[in-house]
Amino acid sequence: MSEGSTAALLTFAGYTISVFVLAILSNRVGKGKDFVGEYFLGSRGFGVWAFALTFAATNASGGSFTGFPALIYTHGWTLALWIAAYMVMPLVSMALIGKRMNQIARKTNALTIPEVLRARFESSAVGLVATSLLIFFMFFYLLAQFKAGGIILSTLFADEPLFQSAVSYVRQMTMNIPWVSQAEPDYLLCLILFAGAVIIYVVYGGFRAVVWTDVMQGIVMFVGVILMLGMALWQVGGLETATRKLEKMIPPEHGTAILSTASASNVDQTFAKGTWLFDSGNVFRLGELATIPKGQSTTEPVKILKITTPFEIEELNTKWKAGRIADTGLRVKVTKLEAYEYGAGQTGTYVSNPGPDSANELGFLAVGTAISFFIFWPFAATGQPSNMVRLLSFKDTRTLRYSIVTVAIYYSIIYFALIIIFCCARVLMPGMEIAPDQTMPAFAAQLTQDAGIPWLAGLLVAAPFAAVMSSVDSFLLVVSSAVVRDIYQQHVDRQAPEKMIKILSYSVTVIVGVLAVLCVLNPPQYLQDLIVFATGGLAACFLIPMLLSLYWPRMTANATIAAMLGGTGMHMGLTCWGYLTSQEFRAYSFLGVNPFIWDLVGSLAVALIVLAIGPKPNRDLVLKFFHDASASRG
Amino acid sequence: MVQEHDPPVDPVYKSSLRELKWIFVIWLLHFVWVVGYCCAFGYPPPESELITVLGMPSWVFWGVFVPWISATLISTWFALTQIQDHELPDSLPAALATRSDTQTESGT
Repeated sequence: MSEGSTAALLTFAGYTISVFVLAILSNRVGKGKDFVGEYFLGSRGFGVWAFALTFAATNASGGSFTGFPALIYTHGWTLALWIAAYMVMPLVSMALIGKRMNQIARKTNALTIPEVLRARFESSAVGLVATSLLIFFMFFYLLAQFKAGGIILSTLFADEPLFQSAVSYVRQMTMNIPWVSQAEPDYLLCLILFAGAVIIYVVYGGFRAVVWTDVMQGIVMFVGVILMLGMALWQVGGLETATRKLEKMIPPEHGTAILSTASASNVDQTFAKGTWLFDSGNVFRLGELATIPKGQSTTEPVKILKITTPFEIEELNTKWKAGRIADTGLRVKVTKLEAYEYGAGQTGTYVSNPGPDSANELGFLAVGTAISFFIFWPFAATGQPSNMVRLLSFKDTRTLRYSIVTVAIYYSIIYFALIIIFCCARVLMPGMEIAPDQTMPAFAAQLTQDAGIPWLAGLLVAAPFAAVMSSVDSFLLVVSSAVVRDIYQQHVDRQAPEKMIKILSYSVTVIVGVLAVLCVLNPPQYLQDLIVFATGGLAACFLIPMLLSLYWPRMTANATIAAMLGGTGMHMGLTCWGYLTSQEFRAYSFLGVNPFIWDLVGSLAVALIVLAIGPKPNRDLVLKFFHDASASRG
Repeated sequence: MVQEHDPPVDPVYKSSLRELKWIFVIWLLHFVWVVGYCCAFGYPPPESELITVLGMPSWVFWGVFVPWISATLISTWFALTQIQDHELPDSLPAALATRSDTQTESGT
């Protein structure tokens, strides 16, 4: 058992124990308080650190620590422009609607986003439409985050002998169970471990446990990123060196090759994905598992990556000749090579826009895309119900103000550090284009190994795990609160006793979690696209209706329903259009503009049309939400 | 719609609306700065010389890093000095809220 893998196991064990301790504590703190308010909103009593870090951690989902590093590694410094709108995101997503929404939620005792909209117009129809759309889109989110949690854990435990024994046991146990047996046993085991931990602490501790664990996870993420930044800059020789080397790099080439040995063997020979191959001065990396069957001396064509940067080829050849990279003795006969659509054979593409791209001839970040992302990030974040619901939980406006400052500083450090870290990774760790999503754990392992402190890898890899966990717990609670509070309490039994609500809340949380696990045993092929679909869909559905409901006295229930359906309809329409034109589950960018902007235009246009032809707003509601009745009484 | 004898405008609504307008202005300012600068200097022709500032490409420094610091400082200033504090109402007890909802609906 290696020191690193033991550390990984200990880190996970320590981390899980901490999470359960926090759940137990929060359960004790919540005793004696109104159950629904405590379970779904922590009794609206969170101060600056708790509120700021739960907001930051929920927003920084698994994508920030898996997908984002992969993009930086693959496309270089252009990701600084891609993510630049995060500079204003804390201000926009917290201050734009925070104070006003919290006020209305308190005035009406609303605990969920559909409830805020329902109470604002005293309309069950508004609440029902909002709840239905929220559950529909939010479920895709849950699926993606559960899958990410399972994958990160399986990477963390991959070399652990105890884990491998457990995997063998799971394989035997599940081989005859339909549907379940199709899942990889290591992934299945990790998915069950991850989901079990999250469901138990959410059920036991409710929103307060979610917030407290978010605080811990926020700290873990911060510490992990800072440690990685220091080690990456030290090992690369400073940022100037990293950027200068990055400038000289040429995008690699993807392709296929037939591998051969000098003579046939009497057993199957397998070569793991990621194996380095050296032939006639060229350097390749294996993109998938390759097998030479017994009695034969060649493989079928397998995926390979050809390194094209001269100094990388030289360094790798030197390491190979010095015995620091294993010699497979394989010959490589290339059968197909595909150059990047943008940036092939060029230097300087990793340090400028639009950045190299293997599939897009315009590069990764064309000007129009850069503009779209500066609009998309802050406003799409504002429209996410998981963020909105946090804005219902702060205890006073001072907490909101100081939390904006905290999150602004937190994001500045985390996201800029991530860009620098993974630009360094591109220089220090060649060939990760074969599995870009593994860049973060692989680089953590390499950095700590090279620094002579392999035990630290466990802590660094805990950062993305914390990010995924903090998102899953929030989404789980948003979905279950929508079912219990917005459907059962509003439409089935308004006078349900607290004991019944308690049992129902726990049951729905468990059922939603188990359903999500069953769905991601065999994740759909286009899961990543489904996440984009869900993010855009939620913002398209909720941003405009919420903004107009909070700030425009003329807004009506009919217009709110129309805006939600209009945004959703536009989102669905553009997604169908995209599928018909490109056969990919991706919304169509009409006139080259980000589909999210069209969604907002659609939502707003429909709302304005309905307002123009529909009835005027209820005057009592306008007085209730836009005037200060207490002042006139005084 | 507003009538002469209506109670005064809700102060939380009034200040939130003012803050909303300023947030849009701050976002727009940084949008123009970042996108404008990066479009002008961050898309150089191939083979052009790389200029770095503090180890990062100069377009990143002036087009992303400096505005990021600016946005953080402005967000801090805005949150600490321009967002107005208000006494937010206390939530109603759940049972009371449910009763009042029922009454409202039956009354309309």
